[in-house]
Amino acid sequence: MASKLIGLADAARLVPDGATLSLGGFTAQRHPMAFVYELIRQRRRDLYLFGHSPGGDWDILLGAGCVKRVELAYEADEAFGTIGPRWRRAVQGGQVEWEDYSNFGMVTRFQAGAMGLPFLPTRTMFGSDVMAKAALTAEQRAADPRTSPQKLAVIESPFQPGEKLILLPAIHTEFCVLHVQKATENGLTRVEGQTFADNIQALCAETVIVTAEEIVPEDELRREPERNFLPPFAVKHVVHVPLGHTLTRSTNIMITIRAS
Amino acid sequence: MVDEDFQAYLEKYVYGVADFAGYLAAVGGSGRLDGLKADPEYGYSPNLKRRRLD
Repeated sequence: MASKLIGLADAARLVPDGATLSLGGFTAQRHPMAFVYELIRQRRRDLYLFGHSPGGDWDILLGAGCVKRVELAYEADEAFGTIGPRWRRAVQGGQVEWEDYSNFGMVTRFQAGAMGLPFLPTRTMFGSDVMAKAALTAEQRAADPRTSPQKLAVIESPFQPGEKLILLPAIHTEFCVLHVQKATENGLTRVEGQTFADNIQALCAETVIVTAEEIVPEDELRREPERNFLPPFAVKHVVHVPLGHTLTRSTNIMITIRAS
Repeated sequence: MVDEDFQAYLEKYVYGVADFAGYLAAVGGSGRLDGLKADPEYGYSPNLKRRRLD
């Protein structure tokens, strides 16, 4: 069994300035916070983040000046108050380039990337301002080939004349970083509790880095294979980081801790 | 939270420590962290002393 274990600082160094990145977790839960702190300590800049429901992970990266562009549904974290305070300031102060979709819309975009499709049709966002308006300008979109040339497209169904559908562009990132409860040295991964869209995000990424609360023998996870989350071939690097979700929550490990 | 408070947070808990072990020590160390750990029967800590943040 080939070991994929590396150190946390080495793992963070794999993500260069300007990289596209998605992070696992949901609002105040199971974000790879130790990895986030390490990115900040290494003074990473110009990151391009994709997420459906980030929270304190993004908020701290935004506040530390690590982020240039984001695409998301919302950024909120009840540990800090509803809307992330650094996110709010970054948007109001024009310090971040951003585009927003509905929550389901962002997960649909990740799903398209995970399936290897260029887009997926959906009905989400019809009748809302996240459909009617765009935050990124055409010039901003054209300036970065990793941004879809347009936010979305509306088509008529080829099967039901008159039926309109929204096409949402797939997401592909260079990196996806997840914090999980258990992993083996070769990258077999288990998440306990809610899984959110972590596995879909992972399949959109060229390189998946898993930080794990516990490194366990493969035999242990093979006893209940139906509970495993990502296969080894989907995971490039594994980092052993007990409490690596702190200060967010993680099922069976710990609730939120605030630094104060 | 004002900008200065956030910068002070970064200085103390992120830039001011060498690594994640340093961060865990800065937020209270093993004594405090052990008190937050989940009960394996519940999946969370039922005896946590919650405190108001304001």
